[in-house]
Amino acid sequence: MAKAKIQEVDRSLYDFKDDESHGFYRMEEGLTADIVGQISDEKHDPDWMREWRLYCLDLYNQMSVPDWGPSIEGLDMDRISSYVRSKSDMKGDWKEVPDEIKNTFEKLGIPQAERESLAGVGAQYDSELVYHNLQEDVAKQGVVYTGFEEAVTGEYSDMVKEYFMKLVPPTDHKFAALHGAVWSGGSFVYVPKGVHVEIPLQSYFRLNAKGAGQFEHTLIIVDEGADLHFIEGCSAPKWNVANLHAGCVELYVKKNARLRYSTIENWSKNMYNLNTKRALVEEGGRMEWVSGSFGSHVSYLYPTTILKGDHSHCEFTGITFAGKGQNLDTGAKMIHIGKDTSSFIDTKSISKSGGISTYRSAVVIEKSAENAKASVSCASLMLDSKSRSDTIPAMTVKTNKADVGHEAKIGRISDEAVFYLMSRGISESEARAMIVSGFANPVSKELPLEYAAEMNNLIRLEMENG
Amino acid sequence: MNITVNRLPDLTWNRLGMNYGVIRDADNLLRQAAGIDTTQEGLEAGVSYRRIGREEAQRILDAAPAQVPEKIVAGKLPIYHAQRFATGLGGDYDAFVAGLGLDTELLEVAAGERPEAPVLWHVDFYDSSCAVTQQIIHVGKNASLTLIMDYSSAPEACGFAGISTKVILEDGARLHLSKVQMLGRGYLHTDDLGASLGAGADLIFNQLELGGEDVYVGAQVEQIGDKSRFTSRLAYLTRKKGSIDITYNAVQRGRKTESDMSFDGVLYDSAKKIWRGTIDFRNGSAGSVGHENENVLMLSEDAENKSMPLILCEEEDVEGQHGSSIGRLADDILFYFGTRGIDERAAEEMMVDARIGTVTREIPDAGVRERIGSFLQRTV
Repeated sequence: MAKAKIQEVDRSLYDFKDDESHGFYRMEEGLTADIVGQISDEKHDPDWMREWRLYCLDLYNQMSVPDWGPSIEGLDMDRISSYVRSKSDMKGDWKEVPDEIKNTFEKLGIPQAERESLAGVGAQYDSELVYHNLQEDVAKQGVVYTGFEEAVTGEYSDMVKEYFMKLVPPTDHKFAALHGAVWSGGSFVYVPKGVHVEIPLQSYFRLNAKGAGQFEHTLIIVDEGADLHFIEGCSAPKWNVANLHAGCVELYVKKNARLRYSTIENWSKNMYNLNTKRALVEEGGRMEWVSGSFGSHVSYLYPTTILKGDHSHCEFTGITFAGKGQNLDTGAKMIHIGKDTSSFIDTKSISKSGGISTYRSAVVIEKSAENAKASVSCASLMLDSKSRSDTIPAMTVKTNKADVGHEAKIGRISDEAVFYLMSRGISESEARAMIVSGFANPVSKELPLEYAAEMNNLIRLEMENG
Repeated sequence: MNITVNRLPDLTWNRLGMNYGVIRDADNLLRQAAGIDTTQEGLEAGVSYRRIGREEAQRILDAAPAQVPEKIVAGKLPIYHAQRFATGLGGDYDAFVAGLGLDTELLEVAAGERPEAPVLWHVDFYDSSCAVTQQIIHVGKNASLTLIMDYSSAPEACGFAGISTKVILEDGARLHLSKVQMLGRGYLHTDDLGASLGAGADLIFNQLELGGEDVYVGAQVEQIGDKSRFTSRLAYLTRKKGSIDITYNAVQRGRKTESDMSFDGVLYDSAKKIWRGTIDFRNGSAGSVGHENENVLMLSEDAENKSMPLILCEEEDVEGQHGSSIGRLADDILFYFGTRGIDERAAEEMMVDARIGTVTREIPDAGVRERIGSFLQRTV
């Protein structure tokens, strides 16, 4: 059967740039103690944070880059500016946000989404938040959703100090140390005991600047019996030099609480996405990850869940779509510590036009995790023979009182399925796109409707017949 | 000096401790190790056995179906390891064996020959020996051979038993190879296999690892020829403070190749096990199929299992599948046995027998099967 030509994705929706020449402040490129000190000055860091940044810089300089995974040789920290600030302070009303920045978020549909389907929004542009708002009735329930820097210096400073980089210590890996040294922006969320936030909160991260890094920190604490859905989106215009994203997400799910964390990642294809996400789940808690990885030149992304409490549970549902010039190394880690814990990983990956997609995971059942159950299911779809798809799952089981199952499949689009659809009057390209959308369906059905539509749109663009 | 063995073809997080195995104090082994006499039975017409020197062994390996030199995959940090005739334990172990300067035993089957009776190849390590044996099994075009290799020693013996086996199957050749390890429980055992398969060649490989204390097993099968097939069944028992470190790589290079690997194991006491199984579809392997399946029965709360099932793929038109199940006997199985008056311990024994029996039954010699039964009765 003749194959339809598959085109590259049309990223014009995300690939628009703002002129940096007016009113932007940009720190010099490279990473030195002086630069880290300047970031502290910019942010009016308390002393403990100032010392923390320098400690992390020291760790960063001592640590090596990973000796596994995708190559990051093209990332030169001497050519990355760690801090770029637009001319706007954080606003609580879109009308007060400068027009060109507001237009950026209008094009991305953020204010419209806020009006129609979100309880609160945070919008970060380069290194700083430019907009943050929470619906009044949600705020009245005691929910806190604020910029991370406000939280560091404001009334939640003690809570931030207690939790900040405790789950992802800077000793974890080189880019966690980098994050600790130069973090900027991000969100802090606290949901009080028993509060169910009925509609999601969203943070959107936009990196406009050329040759810059974005290092936002997200800290979410969902207290006992509370419930939250948090959505994270990100995009950037494409530049001809490397950009870096090394954010950090720390999630605390307390006793009998539930947190769903959904991400549609659509960075441009010059981005090195070295992001770290981790959740700690207490007794009876439930963590749900929904993750779509479509952008970036190189990604290292493995959300980790520590099931510390007895009867805690985690589900990870993810899709990765690697096209031309992309090397996306994604997956998940599950650490079972508590008794009667359970986890389920369900991932899909698609490779096309020379893209490399790697599913990498680790399931660890500690000796204390009696009656733990873990299941992993990963499926990969190869759309041509220029591409590559690897599956690298690890399982460590330290007790016999556990059940661990794993299944993996790799294959291509079935000629029979395409023929079947074509015999019903559907063109070959439409048939292939439908099959790929069906393959991704377990992920899209977990997303709110408008985000599922965005994801399906990305897939359709990837598959469109030239 | 330590030897790095069983290196994962595509590395992952170092802190998991699964990227490779390490044989410690190898220089001590190198000083002590010597060759060992082996015996062969059932050499029919068309099957020859002789000892050859290093240069001749190298000439034979160089003439095997061409293995493409390993490459660095663009954009990936280190993937694959360079070895002219690739084996599971890898280049460091190969160099270690070569460093001993031993003769190689060559078993050849002439083209077109198809002896019916199996060849029995016995290696007795007796007691407290530190010995290494290496062989090349060369099966000519359209020839076939059934070969059973067994390694034994005194029941309580300890020592070092090193094996290196290289298999060359010419186009249309078939080899049914069984390896049975029944060493004393103090042995350090290493068993390395490298195989090169021509077009339409068929390798059936059964491996039983029943004895020894620390065991390192590696197999790399290069399916170079179109329509070559590789079927393997490995079963192991690991007890006390013993450990087993396993790597199997099916490298599917030819068109329409097939691989099917299964691994069944039982861990007792504080035994530790690492398994790495890789289906590797290389560019050009269109129409190929690969399956692997792992079952681990953990019969002690102190046992530890690590599993690493990889599928690497750079070809569109392939189908790869992996499945694994790790843990104790499922409650519904125990309930089923219970309703028939069989208690948990008896049920476990039956399941152990079933796992080992799956491979034992594939060994085409009643005498060897009987010895396996006796060994299990004595040790388990």
